Amino acid sequence: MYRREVDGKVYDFDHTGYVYKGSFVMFDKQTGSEWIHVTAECVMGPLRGKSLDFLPAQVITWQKWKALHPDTTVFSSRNRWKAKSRDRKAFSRTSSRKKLGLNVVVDYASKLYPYSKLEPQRVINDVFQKTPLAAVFVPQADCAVAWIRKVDDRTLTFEPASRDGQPLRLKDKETGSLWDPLRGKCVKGALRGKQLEPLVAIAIYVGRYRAFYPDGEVFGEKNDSASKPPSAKNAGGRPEANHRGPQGVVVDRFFADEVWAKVGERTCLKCHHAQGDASDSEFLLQDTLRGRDSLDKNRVAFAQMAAEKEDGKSRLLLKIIGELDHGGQDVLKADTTGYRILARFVRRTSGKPDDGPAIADYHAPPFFDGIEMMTPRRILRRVTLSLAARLPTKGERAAVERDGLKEMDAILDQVMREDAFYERLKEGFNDIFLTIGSGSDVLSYEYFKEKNWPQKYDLTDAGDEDAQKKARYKLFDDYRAAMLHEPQELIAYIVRNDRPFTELATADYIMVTPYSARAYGIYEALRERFKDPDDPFEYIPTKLPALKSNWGSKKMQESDTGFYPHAGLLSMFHYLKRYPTTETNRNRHRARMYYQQFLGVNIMKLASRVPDAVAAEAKYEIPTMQSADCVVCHKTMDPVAGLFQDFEASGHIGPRKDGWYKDMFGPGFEDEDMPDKERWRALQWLGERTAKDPRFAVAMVQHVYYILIGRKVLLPPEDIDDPMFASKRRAYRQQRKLIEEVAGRFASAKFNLKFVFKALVGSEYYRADGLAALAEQPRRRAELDDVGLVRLLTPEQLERKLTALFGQKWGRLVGRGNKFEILYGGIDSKSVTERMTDPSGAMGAIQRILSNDVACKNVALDFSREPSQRRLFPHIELDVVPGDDSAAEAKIRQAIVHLHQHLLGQKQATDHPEVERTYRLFVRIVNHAKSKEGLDKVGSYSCDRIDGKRLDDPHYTLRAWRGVVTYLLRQHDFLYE
Amino acid sequence: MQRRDFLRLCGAAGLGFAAPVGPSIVSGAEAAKSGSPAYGGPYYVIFNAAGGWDTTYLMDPKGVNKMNRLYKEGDILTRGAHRLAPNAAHIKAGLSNEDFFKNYGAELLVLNGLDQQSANHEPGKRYMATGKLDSLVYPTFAALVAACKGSEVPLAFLTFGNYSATGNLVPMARVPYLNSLTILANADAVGGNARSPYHDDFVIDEIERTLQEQIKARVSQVRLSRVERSQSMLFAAQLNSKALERVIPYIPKTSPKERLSRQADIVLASFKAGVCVSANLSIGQFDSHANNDADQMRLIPEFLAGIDYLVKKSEELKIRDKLVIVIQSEMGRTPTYNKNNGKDHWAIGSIMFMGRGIRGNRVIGATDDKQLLVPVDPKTLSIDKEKGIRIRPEHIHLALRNLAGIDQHEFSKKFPLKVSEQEQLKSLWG
Repeated sequence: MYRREVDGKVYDFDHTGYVYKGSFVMFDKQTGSEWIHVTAECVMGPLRGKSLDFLPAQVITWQKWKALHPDTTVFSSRNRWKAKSRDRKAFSRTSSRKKLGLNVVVDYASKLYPYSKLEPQRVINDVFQKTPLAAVFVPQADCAVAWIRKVDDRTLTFEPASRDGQPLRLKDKETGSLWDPLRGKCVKGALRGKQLEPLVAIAIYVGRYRAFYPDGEVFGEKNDSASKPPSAKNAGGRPEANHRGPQGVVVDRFFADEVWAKVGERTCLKCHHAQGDASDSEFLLQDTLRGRDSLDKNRVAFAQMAAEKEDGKSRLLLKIIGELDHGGQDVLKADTTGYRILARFVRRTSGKPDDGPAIADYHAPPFFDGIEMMTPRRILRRVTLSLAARLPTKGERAAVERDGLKEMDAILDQVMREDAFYERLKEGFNDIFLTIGSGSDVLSYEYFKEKNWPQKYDLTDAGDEDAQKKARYKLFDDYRAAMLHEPQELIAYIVRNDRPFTELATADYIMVTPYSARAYGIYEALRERFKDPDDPFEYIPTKLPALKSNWGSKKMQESDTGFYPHAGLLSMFHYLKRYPTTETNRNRHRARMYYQQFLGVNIMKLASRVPDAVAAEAKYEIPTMQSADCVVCHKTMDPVAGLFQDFEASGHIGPRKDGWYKDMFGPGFEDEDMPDKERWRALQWLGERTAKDPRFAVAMVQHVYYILIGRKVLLPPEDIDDPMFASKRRAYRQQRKLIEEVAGRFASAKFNLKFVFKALVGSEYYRADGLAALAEQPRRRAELDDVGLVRLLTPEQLERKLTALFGQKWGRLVGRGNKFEILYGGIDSKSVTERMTDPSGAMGAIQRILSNDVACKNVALDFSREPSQRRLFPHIELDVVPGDDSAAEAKIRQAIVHLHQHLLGQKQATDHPEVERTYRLFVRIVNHAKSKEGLDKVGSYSCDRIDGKRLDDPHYTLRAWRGVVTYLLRQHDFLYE
Repeated sequence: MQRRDFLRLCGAAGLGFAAPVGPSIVSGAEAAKSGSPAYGGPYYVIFNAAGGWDTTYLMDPKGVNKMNRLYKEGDILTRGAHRLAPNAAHIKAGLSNEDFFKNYGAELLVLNGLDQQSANHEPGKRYMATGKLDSLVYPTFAALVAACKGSEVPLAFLTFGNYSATGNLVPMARVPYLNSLTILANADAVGGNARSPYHDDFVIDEIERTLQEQIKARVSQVRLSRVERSQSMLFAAQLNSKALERVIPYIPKTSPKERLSRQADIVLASFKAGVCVSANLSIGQFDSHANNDADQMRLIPEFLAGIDYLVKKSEELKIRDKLVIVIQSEMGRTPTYNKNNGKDHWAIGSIMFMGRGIRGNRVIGATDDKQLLVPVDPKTLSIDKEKGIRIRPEHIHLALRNLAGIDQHEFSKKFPLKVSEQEQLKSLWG
């Protein structure tokens, strides 16, 4: 019996006239959806995935029911009653009864009590889903019922209390009271009048039970949680069970955690979806990240495929190993974990016993449950330091103190107008596109005969020959720098002007300066547009005319517009030169990088394994077009490679003399061929498609995530035998969900990249700061493993932070020829392209050098200034010595509080343990010095000189404060973001 | 401080991430002053011929079917069990095959017919470095062995390029210039000059002591795993960096011109000083799509000379018997020449080993006259075309883990290599 109401709407039911696995199938008259009688689940139609709520009910003869409830009204339908009568007769026969069991449903989990076990015992005291229950067989009514055996928070234990031939009564051991098992009412004793709460319990054929409840427990069987020893129960948690998902769908845990997570999603979904290679198959699946009830739909698809047989074998198991002409061939071997999971699924859904291990019972809390978020004040400091290379202003601090995170968007709007933000933006995107690695020499003499214009530039005004030589060096340096950074300036221009970031692939312009414009030969035409024609770094957007060769042929680049067909970064010489091609590579490298950088697709990862690569080469004339192993990758990569066909190795126009290769898939994108008439603007054609591809938005959000968080987004876990697979998958999916949500909103915001920064800064991933309590559960710990920004600052970031805090740069971490840059995990964008994220001993040594040297350069300098001008020590002088009096101690502690706030961003009280620790350090140094004879009464020669004179330091306080600053600069809170 | 506290600090319990905190921390400030204890070997060196070497011009000579223009089948030389392509007459610099096999043939184990599965650089490098083709998170063998054997030493895993993923087990270290070690080794002195310290000694001691007190206090705090891990790694990096001063005596006065030899000097000084466990050495440009023979005749001798340099210098430093050397490339090259006289990518290749625990003068596996793989019986390691298996990098890596004695280490288990019992190459090392 069910409540015929779903999501607040009442439905009328009738039966379809057919049965499914022995259970009749109902349909609702409003939508035509079909429902399984036994489970009350809708399996087909618009309401698929929904469930009806069971109502407590008993299967009992009318005579006995009437005796119990004489006032009962009867719903009668002549024909139906006849059918029921037959059932009743059949039920009454002992032989049939023994095939039945009582299916008790608690919290949407099911447990079966076979009558064969229940009838002899009469009552079974059990605990299921943490609910103490009594399953009772009542001989006088030929039926079974289930009650929650708890009254007024007191759990009772029942036993039969009737003599043979008498109606069954129950007695609770706790009070000795007697109970009527059919009504659940206490009839005698201390608890007289008390009523037990009924549980949903219906009779079901034992043999059919597994078909509908593959994950259910059966009393007395192996998977019965009650039959396990207490230690196992405690260690392994509760038995596996289905539970209700977010949409009210009863989730099959085995299917969700094993079949779908480990096989379906990773293997089948690649092809079996509406746009996939197997889109014409009847076995179509959905990505469960997107569809509301897609998991249940996928389960139905798997169950149907599992039930279909070929020569007595499940088609699911045959297809997966490559039989029955499976288009994807053998995606799993029979000896793999994945195959074994499917085999278990087939057993479970066919009602056969499943003796595999139970699914670990872990009810995950909301993902960020128990995570402490960073205070708005600290987020503000992180944002301004990270994105604007400065400390928060007073106004900003006051705003977040007053209104919290609500103010953050407005502050970010301001930050994203500052030049420093664009430096960070350019640096961050260079980590991704690595265009700095192209070098500045990106122009070809064939098309740009003025590329070395500084060589002939008139510098007579600079002075004598030597002065002119120096001026020319500088001219060259500035020109090269201006040229080198054009790709990054394109990105900055798009973002600064709130242009759609799709222009990364579609911009019909490039950015030039007065210096680079000269090299392109367009300076004179642009001269009036520059505010300062002598500024090497004033970038403006412009179009290049179609290229014309300066050499003998005088050939012109084909162009319907007369202009170079710009396609954002894609068609820039820097980008093309950074990812060169060869006669044998055929632009495949460019295609691969395009997919990775613009669409977030790693082609090499998608299809990196072939059973026998060289055999494919030998077997096929053109393996990349004929061998399935090769085609899977090349059909995606080669068409895009063909779009780059007119760009030769170094990035300039240079079509092959023999035309593009015929033994490759022709130029195009995904399933679309490029029309011949578009060839002259092939990269524009690609850019237009890129802008429309939903993967573009996702990839760009991933790039911003990398810039903000310092590491790439999580990859889906690969090892399905890993005990933490489910946790890692959840962590991946949680993060992926955020990325996709932000990507969707980014697209709606007209691809304004600033929106992505704001969305991600506001996300839990950026703000997560700590744990409210220790995560004891290993699975929970694994889920949270990647949570928390915790990023080792890059050399560039660290240098900027030092400048912001000390007012002067250190200068040893970045810059031309600076050896610390690579040693400290930086990149050169060419041969070293991955930043180091964990410090080696070499980096630890640099941190020590940095802390010593920065303290050396700044502490004495700071004390030499007027207090109001000091950054580090505005409230203390060197004559304040510990031990003098309590006022001195207070001043020192106050100075430490300021240092902690300024250098580490920690707002602490004067008695905070960290302040106390720093105070002790200061005191110990001063006291140690006091006890040591022969120490100078002036500061050190190397560090404590101002205007060539060593500062007085009679109490050693100057050097002690230098020690304190050194100590603070070595800390995690300083060196990490 | 108790080590168990640090294990907790490092988040090692439960998740099994690296605990790069050595005994020096455990024993307190005094021990910390001298840095981490010296690692005494074995030392693991991976030589990478980046770009894809032509094995038929080195350890798997053919000379048939127009596969090699510089020699014919009858020209093939033998040295002990080895067959080698002659090249002494074609090289201008470096070490010839003839000399290399003459010097090291008796120690050298060659495996031909390695199924590298992928004919692409990136996955090929990844596969050869980690033994796992389809994962971007597996550590290289060099990183894994460094994490298992000596994550507390400051340059546990040195890399000079090529695929260098660490699996989050151990920090990688890049030291491109030898002289930078001099500055790093004296981090507490102005300009690296030991006579000009930034602080008086007792100040440095107090700073270190306070840092130790701080990290000890944080053991009891509840933090995110990432925070725990990074605080531990930072503390270890700074503390262990002090051991870099031990490198100074072993820094050569002059630096060689050859790129592999320069890398070798840094590696050997670090090994000898006990601050390094493994190193990833690499030279590129082997990707000879055009003018294969000229390129390979230039690069193979340079590569072999680099190996020779490292081994000879290790003899001088008296650590040769502690070296385990792996010599590899991410792929081979096609049996035929293309229109540009080059050779393209080929997914069947070779690998060579020598050093501690490896019996030399042996060749395992083979390719046929079409440079196709011939299967091998994993038990006997002899050719078995019918029932043999295709030896792939995971077979090699499992054997390497066995050789290093780290196959049962928790870090290795975290990155399992699924090779069935029957397919394991248990007698590979002889």
